[in-house]
Amino acid sequence: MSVNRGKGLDLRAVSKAFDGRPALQAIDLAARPGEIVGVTGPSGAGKTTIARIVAGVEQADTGEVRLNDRAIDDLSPQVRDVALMFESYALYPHLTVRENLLFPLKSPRCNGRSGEGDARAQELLELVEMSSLGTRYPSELSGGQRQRVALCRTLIQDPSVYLLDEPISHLDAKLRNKLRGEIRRRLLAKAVPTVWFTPDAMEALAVSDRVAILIGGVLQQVGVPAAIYAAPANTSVARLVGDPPMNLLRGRLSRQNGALWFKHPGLSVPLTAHVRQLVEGANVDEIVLGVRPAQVAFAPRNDAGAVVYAIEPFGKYSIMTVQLGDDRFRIKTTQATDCRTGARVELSLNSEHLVAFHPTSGRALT
Amino acid sequence: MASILNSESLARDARTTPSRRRTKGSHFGYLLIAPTMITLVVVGLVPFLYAIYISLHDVPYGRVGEFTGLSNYRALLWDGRFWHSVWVALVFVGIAVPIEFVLGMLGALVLNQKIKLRGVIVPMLFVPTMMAPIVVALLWKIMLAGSWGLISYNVLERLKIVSETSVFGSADLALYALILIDVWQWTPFMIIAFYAGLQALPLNPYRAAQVDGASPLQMFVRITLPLMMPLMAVMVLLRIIDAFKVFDTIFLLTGGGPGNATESPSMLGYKLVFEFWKLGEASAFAVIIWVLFFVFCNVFYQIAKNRLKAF
Repeated sequence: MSVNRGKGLDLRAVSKAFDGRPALQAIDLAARPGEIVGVTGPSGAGKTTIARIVAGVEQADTGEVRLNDRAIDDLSPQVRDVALMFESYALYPHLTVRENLLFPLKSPRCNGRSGEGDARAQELLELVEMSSLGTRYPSELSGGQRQRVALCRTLIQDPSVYLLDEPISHLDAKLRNKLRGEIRRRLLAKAVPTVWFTPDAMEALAVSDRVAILIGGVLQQVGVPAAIYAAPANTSVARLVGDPPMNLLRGRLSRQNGALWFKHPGLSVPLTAHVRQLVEGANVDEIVLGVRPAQVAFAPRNDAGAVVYAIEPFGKYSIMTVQLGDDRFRIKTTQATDCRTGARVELSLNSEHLVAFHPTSGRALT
Repeated sequence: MASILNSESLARDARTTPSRRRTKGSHFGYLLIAPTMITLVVVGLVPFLYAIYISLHDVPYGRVGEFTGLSNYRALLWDGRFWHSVWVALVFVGIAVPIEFVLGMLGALVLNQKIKLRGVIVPMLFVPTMMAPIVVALLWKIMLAGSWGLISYNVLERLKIVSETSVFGSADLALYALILIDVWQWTPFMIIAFYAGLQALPLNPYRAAQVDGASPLQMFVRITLPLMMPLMAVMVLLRIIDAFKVFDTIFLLTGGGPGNATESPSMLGYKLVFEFWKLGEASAFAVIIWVLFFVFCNVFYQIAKNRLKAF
């Protein structure tokens, strides 16, 4: 990537407040040419605000946005050469689907590039399975179809950066799965950066080269998907990532027979040497323990502390929720889940995959 | 209609199958529009049918006499005075409405920019439209009065357009003075209507167009105009109909004169009744004007719907 240094999109310490309430706080984010950066976080985290600031629809209070080594903060949206897919779609109500797609190609900055627009429009409409709907008006489309039109209107352009604000969130699961891969493939083939905003952390992990976790206007963690998944930086990230996300249990630490134990009202676990080292380094007598739902086995036992709360059988695997003291704990398992609600089960955790968080700051112990 | 007011049939409908119930639903719809329809029939359709009836008769001095077929229509259509009145209206509409439309649109676009004193200007725009016609007429009669009127004295006579006589006394200028008054009266209304329309336009397409790189001119031509088309079509249609029927200012200022230079169809219709007492011809006249408008409105609607995609 060092070849492309300075190329692509750079946000430097971008902050923005609405009515005195901070929406974004000192965001530093880069996307290099050919790279897809996923920005994920719960709704209200500031994802759309980032997209709008980069596109120029909104102005940052402080900080700088650079595109291909040029500050673009003072440029009008027209000349920024950004393709933004609006979360609200923002289709032209008086134009047909095809005319909507071709609209950006008629702008002054696209002069001479609109040559084979019709063919490209048709090809994109086929990709999103709407090839027969080119002459419809937006008011005649369903919500998911409108989202696909907005997506096509973005992909038909050849900008300096793509900004996709929740591009596939309202599609049905089957089409979403298909488009996720197809769009990623197309975007990687272009020599420009893409920022993909989505509230679905797993979607972000699936489509991105790097993922940025944004919560409450603050970037919590930026990294490759595997790192985000394996080592969440804090409990907020841990709560967001995973399907279902990581279980977080708060418990005391106690020494028994030379081993360090994690004690929770419904569960006691011996900690591995690695975790023990981290805990001792932090000098705490309480931790929040992160347990991946898939790293848990269970066995029925009448005097166990965990009570089955709900079972969702998905077929290939099941998700079982158990009541553990005051906490609910989720297990993703391929074991047979033929126990009834209210039955007692004993849990056994794979202690190799536990993550320990600081009890007050919530940061992962490292 | 009667059956739904009948409680027995209501009770029967309530027990019937869903498909029957839908029929009952449509009856209920008629009940809801009944007050409007009855009012329209009584005050609109019945007098109109009566007008057709008496247009086919000789009606000397208000008494319906013998049936004369289409002779009233023939008398009118062979009369140059009738066609002259239509011509007057066409000139009036053809000049006044385009000016009002363009000025209205420009004014609305200016207002739509966040200019200062908008809160003061908008209420003031209502003044000409809300003034009683008699006040408008008197106001302009004074301003355009020969030799001492504010505008006559200061503008028209200095520029030697008229000399020592009222513009309303000039067969060449009276009509244009009336057009000027109409523009003065209705342009502010057009501004307000278009301004309201601009304010109601969705913001999202503009944001998208900005990011898509559209120039300001492209945004106006390709987004604002198409989105405003329904409102513009309705406003133009209303103004055309209204201007064609102009009566009050003409009646008050020129009485159709000098000669019949400003005799609009409404003015002629008035004279047919209250000066010549030719009620048969006047009714025929009303029917002809109605047919003209019926055809015109339908053509306009079809063009607006199919070509301009306004409805």
